[in-house]
Amino acid sequence: MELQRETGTLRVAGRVDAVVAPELRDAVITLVADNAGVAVTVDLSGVDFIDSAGLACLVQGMKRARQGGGDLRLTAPENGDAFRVFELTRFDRVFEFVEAPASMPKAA
Amino acid sequence: MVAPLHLPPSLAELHQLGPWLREALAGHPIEPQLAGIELGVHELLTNIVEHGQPDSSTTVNLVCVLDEDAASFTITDHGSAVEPDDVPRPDPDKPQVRGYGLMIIEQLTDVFDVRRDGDMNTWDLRFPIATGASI
Repeated sequence: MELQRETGTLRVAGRVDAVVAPELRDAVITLVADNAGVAVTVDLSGVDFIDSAGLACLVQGMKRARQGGGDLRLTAPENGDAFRVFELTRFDRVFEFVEAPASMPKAA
Repeated sequence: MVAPLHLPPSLAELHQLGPWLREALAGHPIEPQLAGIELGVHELLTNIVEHGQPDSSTTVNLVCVLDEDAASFTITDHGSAVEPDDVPRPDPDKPQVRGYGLMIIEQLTDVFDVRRDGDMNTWDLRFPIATGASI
């Protein structure tokens, strides 16, 4: 897993699973804490695998953001297989999905 | 049939699953469903390691059998006894942080069973060939 932090955005690439979930969780919580009350984006366009442990990090961040009056939005993985976990858990209906922020190049 | 996979019970070892599955499913009609099968088996292995906590001297063993309709897996571990039916499933209308692993497995398989023999759990998973869109 690769992480790239920019203002209001966390870009994630590679494989996101239980092994790297603690690192992702810390990054997401920091992103939300640094942008309290506003919408932040986690760009997953470069993710090729994500499991329920990775999903949990995003859900935790979304809940914390919404509790603080903000939101955590996602850019969906370009790899359709990686999006499957959102469909199977119904989180495709819970998160707001947005295009990758135009000011940044997409995750590799 | 591909040789069984024997994994030390550690999250760090689960990266071996993908290459083993690619070899096991190569050339079979179910091969396009590789990603869904990897997700389902990965979720079970993660549950075994995190919740069953098998002794590090043991291994988690995977056997794959292919037939014309499905890919079936028999997975054994020496972790604690588990009864999936006793694990509460998430309410889709009330998003929660954890607890989605079994829900994912159940949606990808048409057989998902476990039995306890002595100190060993034996899991059976069957992934049917999708008739429509790939799983």
